[in-house]
Amino acid sequence: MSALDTFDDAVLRVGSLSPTPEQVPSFGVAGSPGTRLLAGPAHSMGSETLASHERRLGAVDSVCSTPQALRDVVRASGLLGRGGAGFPTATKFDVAAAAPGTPIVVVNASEGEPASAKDRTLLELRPHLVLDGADLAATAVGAREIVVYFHRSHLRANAALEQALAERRDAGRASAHVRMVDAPGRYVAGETSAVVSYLSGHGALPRRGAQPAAQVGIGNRPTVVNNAETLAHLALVARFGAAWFAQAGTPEAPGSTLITLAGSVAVPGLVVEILGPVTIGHVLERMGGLDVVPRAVLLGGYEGTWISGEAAWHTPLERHRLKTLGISLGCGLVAVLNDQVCGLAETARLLRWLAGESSGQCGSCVFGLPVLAGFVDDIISGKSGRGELRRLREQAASVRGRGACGHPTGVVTLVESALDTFAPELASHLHGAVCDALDGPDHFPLPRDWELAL
Amino acid sequence: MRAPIDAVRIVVDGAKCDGHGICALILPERISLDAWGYASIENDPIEDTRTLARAKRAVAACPVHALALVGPVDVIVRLRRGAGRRPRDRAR
Repeated sequence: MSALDTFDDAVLRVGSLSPTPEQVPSFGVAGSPGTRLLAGPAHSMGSETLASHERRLGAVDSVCSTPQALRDVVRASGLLGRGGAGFPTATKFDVAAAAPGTPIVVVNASEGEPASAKDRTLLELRPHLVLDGADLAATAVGAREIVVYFHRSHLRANAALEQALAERRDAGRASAHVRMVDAPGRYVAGETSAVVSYLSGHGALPRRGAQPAAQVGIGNRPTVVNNAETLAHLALVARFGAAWFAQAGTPEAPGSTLITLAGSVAVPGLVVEILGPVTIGHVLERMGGLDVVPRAVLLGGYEGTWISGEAAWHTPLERHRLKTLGISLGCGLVAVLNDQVCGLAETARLLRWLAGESSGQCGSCVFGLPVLAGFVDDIISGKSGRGELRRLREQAASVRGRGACGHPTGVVTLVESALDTFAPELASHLHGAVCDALDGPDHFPLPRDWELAL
Repeated sequence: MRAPIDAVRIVVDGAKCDGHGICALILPERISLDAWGYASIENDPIEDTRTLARAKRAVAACPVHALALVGPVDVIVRLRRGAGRRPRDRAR
């Protein structure tokens, strides 16, 4: 029994998540009443069976039986991709359906963010929801082949998926051929062009193509690469319609959103579904077990934005509102840094790892990121002054926006937001204070093989 | 009717750029080389025809075909048609 299991049992037993049906809760974990993707059995019950899934949700609305009708419902719902970029799913489908060749659907659950767990958790707990969505996407674009791109080393997700596919085969639910592919364990391997490149038989390298994957993808066939969470939403949109979908979320970004809590919270890796207006502080208090305002929060992933705990506490946890503040919610990571750890030392640690995760294609990334990491290392060792700080800012600005993918720009976002958020720490480091970026329970997780390689 | 050229931009594929640096000699006002010698491009639309002519030469001069002009399809096609001509040919 893991910490996660005892945690969600406790939450359900206390019934703290608005047990009254008329009051719609604004967030919840697996099994909480009022949730959408995570509704159903609690985390401790493990993977949901096909029988339970179909009893709970029923069949897909017959209105969505033709590809065009289904695409119209997706268009009306305003569903945006949940991999981080927020691209309209309906546009992707329309492009793929109109492009020459038979399309392929890819379920992207590779989730390269080390601390994010939402896609893995969806596959583990609600595999049929994701597979329903993949089947619907295949119907919408006329595909006969589905590829599930994920890490088979996530054993529980792998087992859940294998069992779910067997159940669907036995029940005659399989409409398209489903293939499971083990994604390479690199940060950039989940980027759409990298996924397409890998599934075409090359390395998982991001490309800067003239045409989108939905037009020319795997083996030059139109390829719809959707995040696992997007497809799970699609399974519900096809059942309950666009109007129901828009009851959660905001007009700019309709529907609920999955986030992952990480860092110094009660249960790192806990996936929470956000349904309505709620502040980051409220979620951290109720779901993260925080009783004091933390030093800082890293939003959106390791290539996301640091903001101070005080600023984060009253900020709404909502994709569009954060975007107006210049913050991307990305993959939905909310990582908490307590005041036992120096934020710059933590940034230096993440930077060293991220620099090594470059796919090695673009000069500005290959040479630029290690230089940025080196500058921050020197700062936390107390070796730097104002001059080095100025050069760090110049180098960071020169790397922003370069390269064939978003990796260098993301790293610059992390560095620049760290310099702003940890200004007091920065000042003391510039006066010679020394910090060590050691590993421990207070730090953010990094893949284990990287730690061993050091 | 001539299509407006103000929507044409020059872009670099960072994965292809090997830092030969020829483009920065031809089009210094738009392309600079970073600390490691790779092309860094100012990405605003190219307004005047002289800059556009040199942008075309920069694209043609790149040994690894890392540069491209992007814009509305009809404009790019018209530009490509004249791509082989050097400015002095036209003056004659």
